[in-house]
Amino acid sequence: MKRSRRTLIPAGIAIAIASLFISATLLLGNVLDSQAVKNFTSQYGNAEYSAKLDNDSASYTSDSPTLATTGFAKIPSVDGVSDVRYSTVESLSISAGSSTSSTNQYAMGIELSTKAGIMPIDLTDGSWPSKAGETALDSDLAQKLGVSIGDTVTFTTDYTGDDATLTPITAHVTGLTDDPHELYSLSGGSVTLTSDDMVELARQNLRLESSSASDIAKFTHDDMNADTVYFSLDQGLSDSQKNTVIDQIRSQVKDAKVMSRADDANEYMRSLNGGGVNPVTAVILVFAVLAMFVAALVIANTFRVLVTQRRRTLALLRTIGASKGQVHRSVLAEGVVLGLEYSIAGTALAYIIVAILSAAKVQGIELIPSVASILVPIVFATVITVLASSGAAQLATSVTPMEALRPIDATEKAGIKAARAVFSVLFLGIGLVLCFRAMSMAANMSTDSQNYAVPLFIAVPACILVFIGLIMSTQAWVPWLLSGLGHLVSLTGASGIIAAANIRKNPRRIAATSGALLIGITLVATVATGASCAMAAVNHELDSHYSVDASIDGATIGSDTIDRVKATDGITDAMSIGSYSVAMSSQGTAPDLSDVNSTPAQTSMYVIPDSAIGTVVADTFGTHHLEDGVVYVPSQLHADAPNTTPNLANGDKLSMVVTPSKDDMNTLVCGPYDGIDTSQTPQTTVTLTVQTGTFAIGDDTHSLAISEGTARSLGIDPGRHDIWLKVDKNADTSKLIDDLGKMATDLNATNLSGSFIYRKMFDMVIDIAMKVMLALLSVAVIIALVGVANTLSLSVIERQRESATLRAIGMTSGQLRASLAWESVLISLGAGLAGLVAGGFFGWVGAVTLLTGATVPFAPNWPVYIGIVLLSLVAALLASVLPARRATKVPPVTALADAD
Amino acid sequence: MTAAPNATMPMAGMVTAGTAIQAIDVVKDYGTGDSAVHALRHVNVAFERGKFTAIMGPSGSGKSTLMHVLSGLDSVTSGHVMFNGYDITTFNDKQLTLMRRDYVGFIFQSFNLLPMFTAEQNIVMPLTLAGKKPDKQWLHRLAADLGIEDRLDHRPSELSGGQQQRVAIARALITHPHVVFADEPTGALDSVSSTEVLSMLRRLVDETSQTVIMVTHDAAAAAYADRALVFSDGRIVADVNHPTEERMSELVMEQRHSAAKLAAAGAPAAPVAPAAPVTAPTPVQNDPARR
Ligand SMILES: Nc1ncnc2c1ncn2[C@@H]1O[C@H](COP(=O)(O)OP(=O)(O)O)[C@@H](O)[C@H]1O
Ligand SMILES: [Mg+2]
Repeated sequence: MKRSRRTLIPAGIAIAIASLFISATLLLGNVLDSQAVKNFTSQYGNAEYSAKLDNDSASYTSDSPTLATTGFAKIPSVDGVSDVRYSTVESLSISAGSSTSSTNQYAMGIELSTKAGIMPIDLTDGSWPSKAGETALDSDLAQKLGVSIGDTVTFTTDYTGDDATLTPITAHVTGLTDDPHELYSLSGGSVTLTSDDMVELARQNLRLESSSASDIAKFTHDDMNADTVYFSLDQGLSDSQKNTVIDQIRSQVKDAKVMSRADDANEYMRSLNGGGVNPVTAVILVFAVLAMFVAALVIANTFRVLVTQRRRTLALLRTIGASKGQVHRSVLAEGVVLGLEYSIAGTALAYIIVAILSAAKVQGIELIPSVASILVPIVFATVITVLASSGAAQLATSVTPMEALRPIDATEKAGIKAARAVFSVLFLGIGLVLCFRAMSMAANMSTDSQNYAVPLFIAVPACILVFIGLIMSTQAWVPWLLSGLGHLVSLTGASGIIAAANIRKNPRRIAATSGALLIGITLVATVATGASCAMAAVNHELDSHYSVDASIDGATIGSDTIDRVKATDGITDAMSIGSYSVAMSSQGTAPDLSDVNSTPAQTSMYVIPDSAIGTVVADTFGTHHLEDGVVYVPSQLHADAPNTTPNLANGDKLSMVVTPSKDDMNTLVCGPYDGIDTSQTPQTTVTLTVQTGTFAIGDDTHSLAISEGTARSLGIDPGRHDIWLKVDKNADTSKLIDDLGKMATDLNATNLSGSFIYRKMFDMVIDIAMKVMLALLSVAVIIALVGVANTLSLSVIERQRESATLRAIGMTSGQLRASLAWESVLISLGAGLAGLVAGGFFGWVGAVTLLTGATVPFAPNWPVYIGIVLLSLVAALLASVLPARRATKVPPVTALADAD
Repeated sequence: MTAAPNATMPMAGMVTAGTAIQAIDVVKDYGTGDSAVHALRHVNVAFERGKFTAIMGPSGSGKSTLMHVLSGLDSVTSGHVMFNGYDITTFNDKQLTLMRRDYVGFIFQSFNLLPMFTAEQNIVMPLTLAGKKPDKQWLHRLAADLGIEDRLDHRPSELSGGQQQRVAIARALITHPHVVFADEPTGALDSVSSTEVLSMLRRLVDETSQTVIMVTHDAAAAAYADRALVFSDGRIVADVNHPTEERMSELVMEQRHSAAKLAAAGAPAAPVAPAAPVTAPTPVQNDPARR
């Protein structure tokens, strides 16, 4: 019994690796999910929920919504709500030191949450402000101001002109903060204030607008504007209690959407995929299915190798009188024990590995335990073990004991062979057809379809079917592939010749080993290709969401400005751009600016030279040449703001009032709301032909674009006041933000925006996805290594006599080692190439069906492919080390000893 | 049985120009202590160039061990093996391997052809291992002489035992080795094939002056040789020039009887006939029953 357990150790290792693989995949999936949520909802801080104004229904109506009118003001007093943070912000001008030698900085005042527990920035030193006259400063800002904890700063709301009517607010610095998500860095850094000081800043604004003293005195926190409120609930609430609290909040707020952080992140990620399936969730799901599939194959394959040995034992049992039933029962019991033991060990190992990675602070990886990551691997691996081992027993008992005692190669029945051929062709055929069906389905599906997951759910089993077909037919195509490679290797000398001959001799075993390797490599190639295809598609999506990396608006641009900007570290290109301020009515007719109720949409219209497309603005207009007489409109425009914008299609006519955009925003905005006299501003009414495109310039998705020719025909020159920048992806973000801030100040710019910061968040998530891939890769390599080493060891034992003969007639031990290494390399290379082709295809199918509606290009991931080939070569060489040592340790004479 | 008996025999004579290979006071023990097996006990023997020598003796008497030690397949416990003027007991594994590859030919009882290669590929394998091109003329002469010309493209599994052994002989000769060692080359063959193989070896020695050392059980096979040694319990107990079948059968029978007696007595063996130091070129004939 002890002996039989020893022979089952390789199977045990396979089970452990398989369950480790599943568990690690699920654990890393948890990491990916949590990182995605964290990164895309960094504004939440530690808050679990938010209430957000429904932008479109609330904006452009008579008055800006206040905390009182939206009901947001009542949230803190709802039973069960713990901490609340309003998204109120006030631009401010802050200074430190004496009035004579003061350093002045622009910054962003933000409001402290009611219990100071859910801020989106981290307190690195000191404490949060607790009352009016206290503040926590961003540490970079504090450094620029030259202040530390205990010092005093003064600030006023940000305003132009030397209006002396404002009395600066004085505050003690109680703490320093860090802004890991760069939420406020573009605005100069955060100044955290209590609500009282925020109200005071708002009152200063009212003073600037010359409101009456009584209005100013009446102004309270309830009159502040905030489009979002973040909140957390009391500890220890049950799910139903939480729902009650949320329902109560829903009944209190108006025109707002209350949702959890996870839902928010999910919605955001879905929006990136054109409203389809959340790509992160889908990736994790697909990974989990693949991991289980791989685990099943690894276990089944190991048992297939074991059958050769076990058959003899089981057959001997039968010859001495054990019944089929007895054999089956003993094998079954053995399978359950074996499966449980090793899958528990493998799962524990996965937890240990992830815990170590997390303790080693491998960026982003943390241990997030879940029931699924424990139960799924253990149950699944045990079930597969039992199935695989009873399959082995079936093989051994399906023939007479005498037949079973003969070597397995001799006993394969022609019937089994034919059945295998038929089934593998059937699987391949059906699988491929389904793959292509799913792909065409995905390509023709509209983005808002409710059935967005259907193509993926067809594609995954289809790919698995194709792969099973491939594995089943390895005996047909692996020898063919390897004999080709073998001819090449034979050219290298005696070791290569012998390796190639050995491989030719035992196609069955080689095919089985290749199968094991093929699994690992196909998986890696699938994931790599899927990731790169999906990334290409997501990048395209991002380009249309964030078409310009960064822009400095309303700047005073001199002759050498652009060159100076270009010379800045991290900026690869820059171009000055002219823009118009535009009013268009939702009816599509020319808006009447004197009519207050016509609600024309205010937006910017940029003059984009052809040379800017693909350099400072993403190439998403669908053309490199903007036509004259055409206005390019974002296809998202009407969907984002149905009440205020016209619904436009290609070829429609759009009439609008166009005003040149200048550096001074106040004289620019031509809208009836501010009571600005538009008769002083040069303007023209034009009608242009509409061409829609997927682009978004700056922070808003409403900006229009025209060619230079169109701009000339308008007759009013907007001047070039904006600088668009192309940013190096790998640049140090915080330094770049700093430089941009300085630049904007130097150029007297009115606004600085940088969508590259949002893209940075994606890079972070993609980075983590890559790490997950690397982790999977290493497991796949271990699988490959164990498989190849096993086969080689078996061959070495069987070939003892041949090796000894070769050694006797003059093969050096170096040549013998080299020949085993070649053999291993041949097997690995063959499996590697086949795996790359199969995995590349599966990955593409996966990406296409995952991102429904989007055009997913086939994006080969060459670095990973080359990495796989190199890795499989290294793994092959490593795998040959132990068998080679075994082969050369046997002195030639022992193996030659004739029985005499 | 703690140690090998002291060497009572005089040292072997000088290595002369006519000596192909010589064992000097060679001891080979397997294992140590009580369980030690003394496979060779102070063996001194020289083999003449261009001669066909047969080694006979009961099973387990040390014949194969001597052959392995002489050919550099195995190490000695003590003593020296002079091959071509070199003491190969000082060689490392690589030197030994290259020596075997370039200067030694092997013929095995069970042929030991490589199943994945054709007959021709098997024959030229020592050259392949050396990275050398085979001498086509020599290959075809060998194949013609051995009668396997039309079998060169066949794999071992498609050849009869006799044909396989002929392929093995060709493999042993392809490098023009200094010595060919054959360990019971006819042991797995029927009598017709055996006769063929032995005649070929005889012809080889006569026509090309190839040095051949052959281990055999069969007195009739020994009769093909120029000289026959008889082994017993790790010692040479007889050395016969121009052996005949009857003479060798007689000698082997004697050894069986004494071995049986010894086994019954449980005492260390004493040779029936004292083995004599052998000096090439003319082996000293100590056998009282000399013809
Ligand atoms: N590798 C080995 N390990 C232990 N004993 C061995 C080994 N090879 C041979 N022997 C022993 O050495 C003795 C001589 O063996 P061998 O030379 O093969 O005899 P022969 O070829 O004459 O039949 C025998 O007793 C044998 O059992
Ligand atoms: Mg022997």
